[in-house]
Amino acid sequence: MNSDFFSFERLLDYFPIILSKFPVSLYVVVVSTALALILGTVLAMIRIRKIPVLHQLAGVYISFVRGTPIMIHLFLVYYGLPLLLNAVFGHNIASGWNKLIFVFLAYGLNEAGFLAEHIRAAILSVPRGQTEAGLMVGLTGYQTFRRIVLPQAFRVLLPGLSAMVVSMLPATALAYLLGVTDMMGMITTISYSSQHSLEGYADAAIIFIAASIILEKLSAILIKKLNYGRKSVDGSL
Amino acid sequence: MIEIKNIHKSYGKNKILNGVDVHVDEGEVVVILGASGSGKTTLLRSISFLESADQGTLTIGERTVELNKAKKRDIVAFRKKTAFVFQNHNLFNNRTALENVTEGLIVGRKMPKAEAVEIAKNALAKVGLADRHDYYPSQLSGGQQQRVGIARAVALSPEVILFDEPTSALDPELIGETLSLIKKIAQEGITMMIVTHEISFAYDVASKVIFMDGGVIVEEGTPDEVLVRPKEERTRQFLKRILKPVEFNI
Amino acid sequence: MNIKPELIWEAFKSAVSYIPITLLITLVVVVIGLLFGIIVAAIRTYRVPVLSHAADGFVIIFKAMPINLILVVSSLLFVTHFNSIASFLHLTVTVRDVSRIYVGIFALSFPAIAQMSEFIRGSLLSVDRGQYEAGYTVGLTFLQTFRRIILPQMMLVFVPSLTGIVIALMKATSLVILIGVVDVMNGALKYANLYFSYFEAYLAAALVYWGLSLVIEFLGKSVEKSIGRYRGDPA
Repeated sequence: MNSDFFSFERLLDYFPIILSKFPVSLYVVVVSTALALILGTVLAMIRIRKIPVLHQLAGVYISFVRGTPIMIHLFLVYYGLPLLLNAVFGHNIASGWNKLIFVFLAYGLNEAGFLAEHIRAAILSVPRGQTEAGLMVGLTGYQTFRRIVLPQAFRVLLPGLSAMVVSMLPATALAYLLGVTDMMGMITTISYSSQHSLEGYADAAIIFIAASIILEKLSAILIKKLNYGRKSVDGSL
Repeated sequence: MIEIKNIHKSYGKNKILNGVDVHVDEGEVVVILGASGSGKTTLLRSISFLESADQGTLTIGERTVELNKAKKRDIVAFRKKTAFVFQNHNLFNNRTALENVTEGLIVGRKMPKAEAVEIAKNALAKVGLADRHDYYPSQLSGGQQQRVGIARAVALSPEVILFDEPTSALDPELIGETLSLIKKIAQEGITMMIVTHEISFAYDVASKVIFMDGGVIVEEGTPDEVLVRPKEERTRQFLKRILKPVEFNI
Repeated sequence: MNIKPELIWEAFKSAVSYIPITLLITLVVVVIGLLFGIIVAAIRTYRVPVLSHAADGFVIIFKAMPINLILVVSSLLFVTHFNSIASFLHLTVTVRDVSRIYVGIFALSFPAIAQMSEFIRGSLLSVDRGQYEAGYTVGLTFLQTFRRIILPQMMLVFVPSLTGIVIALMKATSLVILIGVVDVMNGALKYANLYFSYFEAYLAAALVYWGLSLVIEFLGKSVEKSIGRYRGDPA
């Protein structure tokens, strides 16, 4: 048994190096969640309005995304986007793009599939009377949706959304498969020169665990803040 | 002036409104009575375009529209002439009391914010909630919520305020204060159409009472004519049924 | 660069032939997750002293850690330490004799237990406290109350979520490619290197996983329905 297998010294040495790549994961979570919220809302509206054809397409999209591994989504976007752009523009305009863009897209498209159903339920949970009241004070349908329905739906969505964001964080650890230097990518780089990776993985594990605890606390605070005067957190009146 | 002509509405085979005509003069307070299912709420919601009527015309002031052919533009224009007080308040849950009142003024009517806030403050003061500007609906009692709902309607200074059973979701002890508030506003000369079950309130406040049953108007006239000396048997039956539980002194 | 349908078909056929491996790993992981998940959930729900804190920690840690990290570290430890542990236990097997599938199952079990226990706990907590009290007042013991009153009610909440967990775990098994197990994912990629047909290969793999998910969903719905009937039937 190799006695030099694990050392605390290396654990400490690598920690700041690994931690310096943590923002990459956070970046992926933030950008892809923003993308997913937009696309998810569009999908949800298509489903609520039952817009013909699009309604069925959205259903297939959601089923596909939920039924297939995220690793596949990463590679489908990575290899598929250039093919698509080639077909549309005649040449691959994505050839010089930062790998992160593919990562954002893949995670965003994935998350949207999961969020769409949550968003749909959240929008439907806002009583019809809220829309009627908006229309009756002279707002247009869109204004009522934007200013009255969406904010209330968001509050309903928040617990599910924050749970999803917390679970997204470890899921981003696949970004390195496309060549993005995130924490996992950094561990690989370190292990090339030092032949040691276990300490790096331990560092990453510590960071992921700490981050998820912090994120969970933050979302609890946010949920409390967005309560519009209600005392309970669970949305009951 | 509001003129509603020959309004029809059915859900499937179920006829809810079967040719109703109503005429409301400026400053008039029209109270609509009737058992549940008589079509009175549907009437109110149809002229607000919250329900789409199958047939009928609506005139408010100079402008006339066929209810089943109204374009989006028409609907928005007509809604700006009316305001609605809902049975279950329907205050915007994500807005404070003050914001509930300013929302329609600022966004719907493009009023400058300062002016809207000024109007909203006056409206809230009028309903006795000057000290509740920053409360969210969930922090207000049912009666207070309904008063904000009334302030929201009054602040829009519409040509007519439509009240849909404004007290039927309230606790009994809160009904009185809400009714007297509506009476106070009525005395300022605002045109109103009120759907309610409160007979003595109707007698007090109405310039005209309409009794509906089965989707048609059975009887209409002054409060004395309809409530004290009803001509129609159906009206008498209704009044008898609704007045029975309490002793009724006019 | 064009998509070649015949290469999708090749990759698809290859992927399909490895469905048993993917399903085997999924099934074992689900069973392990259920068994230990029940224990972890019970410890946490009924606040067993000392153990409940350990269980809390376990769930927090394995929900927060990337599954691929757990897999890679497990594989690393396996390669470097298996021989010494085996010889310590006087076993004659060596690293070479043990399939990587077992490493995959071992690694996937941790997040599976953590996830599963969360859902079990959620369904346990969905049953009102009053149900226990009602059981006690008619003279049932805790175990009797649990088996006859609580369990049937929690199953109504748990079974619908179980479908989702099984699909999630099935999808997660695709990560065993990182430690060299040949499953659906790896099978689909078999010829990708040869023809540079990665997109076709991943598309084929996606179709197979999608099909498996739809089958699991269908089975879950059928189970749900039969439970629902049980609920609706007063006899």
